[in-house]
Amino acid sequence: MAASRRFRPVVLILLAATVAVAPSASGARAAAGAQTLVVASTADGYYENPKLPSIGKYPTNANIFETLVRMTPNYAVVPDLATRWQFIPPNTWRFHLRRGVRFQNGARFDANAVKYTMGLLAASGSGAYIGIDKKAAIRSIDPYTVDITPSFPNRRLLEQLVHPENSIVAPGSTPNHPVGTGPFKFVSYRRNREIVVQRWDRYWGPKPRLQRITFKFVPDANARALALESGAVEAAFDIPRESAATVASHRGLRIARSPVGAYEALYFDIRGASGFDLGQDAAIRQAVELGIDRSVIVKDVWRGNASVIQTMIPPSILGPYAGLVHGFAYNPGQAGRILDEDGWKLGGDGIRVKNGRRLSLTLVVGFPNADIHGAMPEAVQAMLRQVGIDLKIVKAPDENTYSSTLSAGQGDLFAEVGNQNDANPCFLPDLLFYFKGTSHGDYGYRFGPGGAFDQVIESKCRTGVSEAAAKQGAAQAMRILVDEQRIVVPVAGVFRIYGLSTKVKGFQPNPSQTNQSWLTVWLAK
Amino acid sequence: MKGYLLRRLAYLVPVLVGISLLAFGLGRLAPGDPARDVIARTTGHQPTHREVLAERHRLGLDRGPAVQYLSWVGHAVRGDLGISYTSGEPVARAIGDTLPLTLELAAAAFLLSLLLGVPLGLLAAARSWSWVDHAVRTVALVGASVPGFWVAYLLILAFSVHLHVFPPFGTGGLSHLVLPAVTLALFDVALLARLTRAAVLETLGEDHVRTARAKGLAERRVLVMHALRPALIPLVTWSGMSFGYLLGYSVVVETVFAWPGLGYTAVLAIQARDYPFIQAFALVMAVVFVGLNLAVDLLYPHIDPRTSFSSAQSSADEG
Repeated sequence: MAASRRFRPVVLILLAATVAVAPSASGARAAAGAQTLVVASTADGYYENPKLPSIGKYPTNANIFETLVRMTPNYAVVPDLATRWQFIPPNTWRFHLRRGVRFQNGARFDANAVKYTMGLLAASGSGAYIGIDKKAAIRSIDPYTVDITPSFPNRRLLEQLVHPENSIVAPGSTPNHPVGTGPFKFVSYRRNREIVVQRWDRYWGPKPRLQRITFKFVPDANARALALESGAVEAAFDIPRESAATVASHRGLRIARSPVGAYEALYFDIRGASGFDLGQDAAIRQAVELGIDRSVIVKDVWRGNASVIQTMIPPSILGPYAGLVHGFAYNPGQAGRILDEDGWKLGGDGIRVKNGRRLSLTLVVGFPNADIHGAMPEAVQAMLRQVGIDLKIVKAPDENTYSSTLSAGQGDLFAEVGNQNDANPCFLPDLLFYFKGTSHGDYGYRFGPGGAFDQVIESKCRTGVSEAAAKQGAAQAMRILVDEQRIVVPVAGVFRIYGLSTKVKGFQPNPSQTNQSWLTVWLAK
Repeated sequence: MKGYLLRRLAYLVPVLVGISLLAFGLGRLAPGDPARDVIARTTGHQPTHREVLAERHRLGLDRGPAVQYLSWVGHAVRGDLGISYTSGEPVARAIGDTLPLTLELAAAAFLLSLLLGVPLGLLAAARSWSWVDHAVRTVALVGASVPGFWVAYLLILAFSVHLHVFPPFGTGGLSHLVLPAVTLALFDVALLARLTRAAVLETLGEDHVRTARAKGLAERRVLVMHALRPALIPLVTWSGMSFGYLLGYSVVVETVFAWPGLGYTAVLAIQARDYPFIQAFALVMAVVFVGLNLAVDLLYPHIDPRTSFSSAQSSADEG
């Protein structure tokens, strides 16, 4: 009793201190205004590029900037700062610009601003990939018409220009004070903490209903979910798939799933050196495809927040051509028969052997990190063991180690989760699997089949003018990779999961987070 | 004392040279290529081998290791620590922005561990083998065993999600500091409590304590003045090291609580093979560690008058 009396002042002091330091969240929010949204974003990935203002642009798109054309959640290209466009052979794109648009510093948006931006892209090196470099020609035809001629034949320029990296920047904009034409203008940025934007009242389009958005950088996915549950934020990016159901069941919260925009896939190294050369055997590649039950992975590893797909490319991009890729179904019996016919006979320990060599493959996991793949490697390992294939799993501690392992060819299979952030149907097959002219360290060297695949990329993707031709080319390329050469094993098409307060209205989840628009979002009372 | 101080500061020079060589060498021995990472960050796409080679040239990574090291040292002594590959900002500015936050967090955790760990250990020693002692030791065992990130989630769940008392992440004021500091301190509280208990129990059996009790001094006075004070030497030694380790352990806490300190930034830099930042980080941590050890050494004579700077010097020489 005496002891409890002695401790009472201490307890009271601690309680008083707790109350004193506890924030008045509601008070602070009320002072900031009702239409103030706080978003828990992923880690701060802005790069302070002195040659090209990028803060607020990529990877967290704060809607400060806009592109000439933008991408809908279904990967369709629609007008943005350009109202229409045309291709002028042999290699020029003419854009007719929107009139009456003002930058957030009051300056007029016109062809000079486009020329200025393309100059920045060329000087910084960021535009080299799409042919906007020092050899590209940018010509003003009149104040509202501009011609862009890339430095190499690039029929996919239009679909590539939707990427936020290619946003139009106001002349005079600096890394620390980015100025664009978007619906929100820059207020402040603190590295690894937050970026704040507020409504741009002279925006040319429908006025945003939100007054202010604060993107808080919260790198830990579980912490983002907890922040949402605590009410500290009203929206959160990339809720962990294992927490999605819990968040959705929380009163006042909901989950918004985007269409498929990301993929998980395994790639076979088909040019591996000694020790990692089993990927050269087409029978083994086919057996691996047939030995993986992807519906189990979608259900148990991705917790239903994914779907079984036959290509790496989001099906909505390929449209009617998606059916060109037939894919494969789980058939361990057939996988076993194929390996038997190829001379791989079951050994005493259940693993197949041929000429004294065990059928043992190495799976390298690490892009963009090993954690994102969850238990997929172990699930695949267990499934392949059923058909007599031993799978060694190597989890790279970070992306750099993964890239280094891939460049050195120290694996038979490589697991990746990737995103489609532009509207170019050929983006993934061209970037990752085009073989011609590659070096040992490139993806194309490891995984590119060459021959007919490269011809499709060249004739349909790179030189096919119409969007339909590119879609058909991309589907044909994927058919070679999946159905014919069996180099790529698409495991799952992945949804992006946004956590939202039920007060958040008008949110249209974009499968490409970096293209997420906040224009239509508002907060209910 | 002045001579002692100067000698210790002079030791810093070879330590820094050694650390800089280690950080330079180990960073480059790690697999991966920062050039690839820089391109991916600035362009949003995976680079080709040719682009990587061009970027390596731009970053000066195609020069010999000795040339790279000497170039970096030459700039560093003039205060130019280079540009971060991860963020594009000057490394000196990045460290200047993040170090105070990590020091703030570590200091708060250190203070908490002292305020809780020492009294708990003292209490356990005073009531050794009683239920109080068992309770303290059990709590200490649990505190030292549970992973920091798990404790962090539990604290956020309890105090942010359910009680709405503290913010779940970020910086801003004292309220933001509470949960990360408690998480970081937990391990230290546990160890300090056990260390204090062991040290005090040892001194409680010595003659001077028996004499103090025989003189009729109050038990509380015997505990604090006659048992705890001689036990302070190992506690202070450990505390000096502990503060340094708190800086290191802060990485997990900073990541979960989105506390933009030096630890979190350093992890990003290591993952991206951000050589300029990694090298500067190693130097800063070396200075902090050496400074803490020096501060602890300077404290010894104040705790135990039998120790002097000359004896500290001779023991240092022997060590």
